[in-house]
Amino acid sequence: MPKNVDYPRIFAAGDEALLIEFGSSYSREVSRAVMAFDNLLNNAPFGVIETAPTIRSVLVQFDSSLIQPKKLEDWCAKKLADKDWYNEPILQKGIYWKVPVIYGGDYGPDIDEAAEIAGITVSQLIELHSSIDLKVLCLGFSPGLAYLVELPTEFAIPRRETYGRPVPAGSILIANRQTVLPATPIPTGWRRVGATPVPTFRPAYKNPFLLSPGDSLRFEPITEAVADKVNIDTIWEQLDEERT
Amino acid sequence: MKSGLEIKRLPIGSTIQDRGRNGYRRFGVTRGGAMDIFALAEGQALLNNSEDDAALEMTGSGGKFLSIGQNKIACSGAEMKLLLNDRQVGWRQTIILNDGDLIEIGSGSEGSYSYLHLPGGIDSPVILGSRSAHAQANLGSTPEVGDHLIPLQTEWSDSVMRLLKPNYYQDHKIRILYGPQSMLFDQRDLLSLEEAEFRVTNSRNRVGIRVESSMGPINANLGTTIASDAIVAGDIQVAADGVPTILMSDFQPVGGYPRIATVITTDLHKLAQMKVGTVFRMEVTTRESALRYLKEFKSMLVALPSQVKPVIRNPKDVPDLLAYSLIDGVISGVECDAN
Repeated sequence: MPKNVDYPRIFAAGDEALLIEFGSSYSREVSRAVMAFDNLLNNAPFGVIETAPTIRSVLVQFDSSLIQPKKLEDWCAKKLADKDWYNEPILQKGIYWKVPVIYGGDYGPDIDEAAEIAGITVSQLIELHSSIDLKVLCLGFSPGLAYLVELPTEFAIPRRETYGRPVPAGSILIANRQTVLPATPIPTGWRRVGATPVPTFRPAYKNPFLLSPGDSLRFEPITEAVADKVNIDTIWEQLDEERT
Repeated sequence: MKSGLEIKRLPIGSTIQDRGRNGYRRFGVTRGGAMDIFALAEGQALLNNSEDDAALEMTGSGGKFLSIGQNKIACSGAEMKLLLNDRQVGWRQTIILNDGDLIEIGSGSEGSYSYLHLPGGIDSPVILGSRSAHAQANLGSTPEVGDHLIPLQTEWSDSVMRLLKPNYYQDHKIRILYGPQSMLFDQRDLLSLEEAEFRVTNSRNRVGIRVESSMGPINANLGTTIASDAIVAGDIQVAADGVPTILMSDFQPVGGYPRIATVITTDLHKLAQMKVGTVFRMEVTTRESALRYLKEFKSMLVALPSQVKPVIRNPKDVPDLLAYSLIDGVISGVECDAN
């Protein structure tokens, strides 16, 4: 997909934030640029409070008493001009997770419908969904909710028009070749194909969110019978070991 | 005996709030925090608390509290009727309570968010670096009847201090900046923002304030949805029906509705305090000006502790110190609000 000549562009978002947009919607190139530029902002000038990637942009929140916005804007503009961010190699930083998932049944009540729309069988859907490494593109909408990319073309399943009852934390939701993994209960129009027994948000923990933008993961199908045996603490220990 | 306040009555929507949290946006958690950051700072100044201390935020009306042991409290923000054992006492001043005293906070005629403060702030768990309850994010504590509000500091001076009422409750001008999505809107609508009158509807909470406008439904050229993008506090989001909602403390980190403009940080507390039905206007400003206003606003917050004054006791009120009312009291012209 050719990049729009108007991008990337820098906007003021309110008085103490910049929004750097890399495209008008998600694409593989846009997400590369978003992740790479967000990563660069780890070394942003003093005065940047935090940055947050979205599916098409990076938000840069700053403290105007510590840095002149013009100075920060110039710094970003210079870095943007430095190279072709859309062709940056996919970041290889972040943690690689194996996330156990129970597909179908009460955990994934929409799996039959999703398979039908995709034109494949349920077992093919599970096979496809769990045989590919997905990238944590960003977290948003609700705390810890992870947007994971990118699923094969079979998963170009539209969202439902209406929101149903809230789905539980840990639901595996699919639409538009993306997977969403909410960490809290949310209402959604995405189709629920499974659930993981691993909580991805533990508010009281030092590192409260399991997943970070830039992490990768692969889903591993498990049966309900072994779900109780998944050692959640072992998985979370990886977070404290690798995220310093 | 454990000191603190036992909650006897508390309206829905009361939450523990401090200045909110930074650093968790990339995990989907926005800043949150007190709807009126100035009012929060007032109570902190009165009790000599730190700027990170938490208070009880109440909206619409207050609660009823029983003092367990001796306590010192202060109320700030939107002025509400305040009774100590059925006798009216002053808002925006410290009050010393004895064991068994009953504090009752009623409703008020001006403003929407009021705060009850205890020395050292109200004890509640720190989650993701803050004590702020964030309903949207399902974080933090929402006190209930029977719960105790516990001060984090048990030593306090028994001097009675007060602050004068700030003047922003009458200020019905909200300054805005155009933003990343302003150009999705008709030029006519963008220009109308400054001409139109806006009215606060009853569809309002800590997440956002839906407003009616004299300009009618706003039309976004790209239809009603765009690819989700980052939201900042103060964003004026226009939904499918063309009605704007101004996003407040507990806004969601990303949203798919286009935003026509953004309210400047300095004016968010003003907007938060507007009651349902309040009519206000918008004025487009520049980022340069907005940052100057913000600097002035931050200096005002820093200066608040120096404006705390001892309550001047009129000798005839001495037997009845706590009934001292600022309105009827003796305040010389020299002490008039410097703001």
